[in-house]
Amino acid sequence: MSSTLDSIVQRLIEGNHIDIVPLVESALAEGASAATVLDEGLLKGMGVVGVRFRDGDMFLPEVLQSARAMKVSMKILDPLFLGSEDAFRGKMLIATVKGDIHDIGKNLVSIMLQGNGYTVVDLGINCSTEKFLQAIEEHKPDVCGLSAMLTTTMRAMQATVGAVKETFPLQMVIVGGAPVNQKFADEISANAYGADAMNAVDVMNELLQGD
Amino acid sequence: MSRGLFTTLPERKIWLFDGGMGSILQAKGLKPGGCPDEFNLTQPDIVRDVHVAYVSAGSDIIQTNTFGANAIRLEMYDLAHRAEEINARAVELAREAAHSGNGRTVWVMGSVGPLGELLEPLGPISRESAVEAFRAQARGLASADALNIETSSSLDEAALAIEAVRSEVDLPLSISMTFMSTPKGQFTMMGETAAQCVTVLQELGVDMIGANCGEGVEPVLEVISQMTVEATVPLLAKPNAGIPVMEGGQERYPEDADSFREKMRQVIDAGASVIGGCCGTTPAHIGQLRQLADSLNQA
Repeated sequence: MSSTLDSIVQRLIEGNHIDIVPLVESALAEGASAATVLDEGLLKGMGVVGVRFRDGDMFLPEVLQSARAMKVSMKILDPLFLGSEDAFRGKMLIATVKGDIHDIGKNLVSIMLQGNGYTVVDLGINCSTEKFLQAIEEHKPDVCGLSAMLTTTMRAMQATVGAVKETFPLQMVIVGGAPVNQKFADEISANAYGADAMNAVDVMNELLQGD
Repeated sequence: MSRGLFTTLPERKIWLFDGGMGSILQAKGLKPGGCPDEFNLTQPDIVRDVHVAYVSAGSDIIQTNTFGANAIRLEMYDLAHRAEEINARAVELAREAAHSGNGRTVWVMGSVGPLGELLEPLGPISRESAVEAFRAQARGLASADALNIETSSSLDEAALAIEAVRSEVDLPLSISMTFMSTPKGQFTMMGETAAQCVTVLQELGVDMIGANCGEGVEPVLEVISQMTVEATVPLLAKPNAGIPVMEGGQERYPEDADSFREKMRQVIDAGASVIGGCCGTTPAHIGQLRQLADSLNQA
């Protein structure tokens, strides 16, 4: 069975969303639990993808292929997790701020979080403060994530984070995106800064551990 | 349309482009999340004033305020249907400013920014709608002296834009890519190296290739050094004034005009012949580069 799991890791790294399907099914047929397939197959592969991406050995097109392989695999596993707490670690509400339509970084964060057992509610791009506040009310996330890709939309991020903190003083917020850094995150009173999609998972784990 | 701008380039060692637009519009009242390109219609005096400031500071080339003026980006402000008009007005404003240069020739380049979302199959944007968006923008920019397809992080999207604008206008083309720093060096978001970009873009017959925006002057220096090896066309460098930090609710860019000039001297040594700035650079930065360009052109 471990060879099947190893093959799943390999297909995930390669981003082969076709061949990974029968492998996931075989692993389950061979007696692996859904949690084992997730942890020792998909997440292990995603971990490698994250490290290679961070190190400049893999780029966006390949990461998106791996994400697709992850997604089709999770379609098989999801029903098996229903009613179990195994896969649920917390909920993030995520969006790209108003005036910004870049969704690539945000989507990567969303993929990595989901791959690591978090529930993600994605409000998409160009998200107004009002829409974001409403969604917090509705979804009651553990953590909010905001992305900005342009130097000119950093202030929209500041405005939204400010409104969140004013309306929901205890709501945790992580910010990220190309022009964003720790200093900026501190300046606008965000709880944390996620440097990249891999780091966002670590930051999320840390924030919720302290919960 | 003549190839005027690019036939003139060999006459001087260094040509001076302009600096940031969006970051200055913010200082002049553009709201967070507001549409910079709409200012061409609603606040034309402000846009023209920024251009005039760059002409006064010594820019030989200025760029239209149309970074986001493609229908796909304008859609989020419900302005997609006005894309052509926004671009056409932008050229008029830049042209008026260009004429303020006391008889000095100032060229107007039409800025064609990225779509902001990924093309299919990686992302949601169909190739047809992308082509249509670039074509409409090119029609609006038709009376510029050249187009600058800029801040592109994908050779695929750049090539699509080149083909699309060429189906509408016969203008010289500059392609300016944006790179990111990785532990393995500079790459586009899609993983393309500077050398690859030059090879592919020269095969497509563009008139100038360069690097803009990004994480400051040093990364652009690295990119230009790599581009020089392959390049037979002029190289453009238009970096940010570093990565902004927030101070008291305002962005502050780490490179002031003096430090920017000193670093840009190295970029010129590395092979760039058209220089300017992107986010966070101001007429003060361009004024410093003017002195640098003058001293090198006289040498």
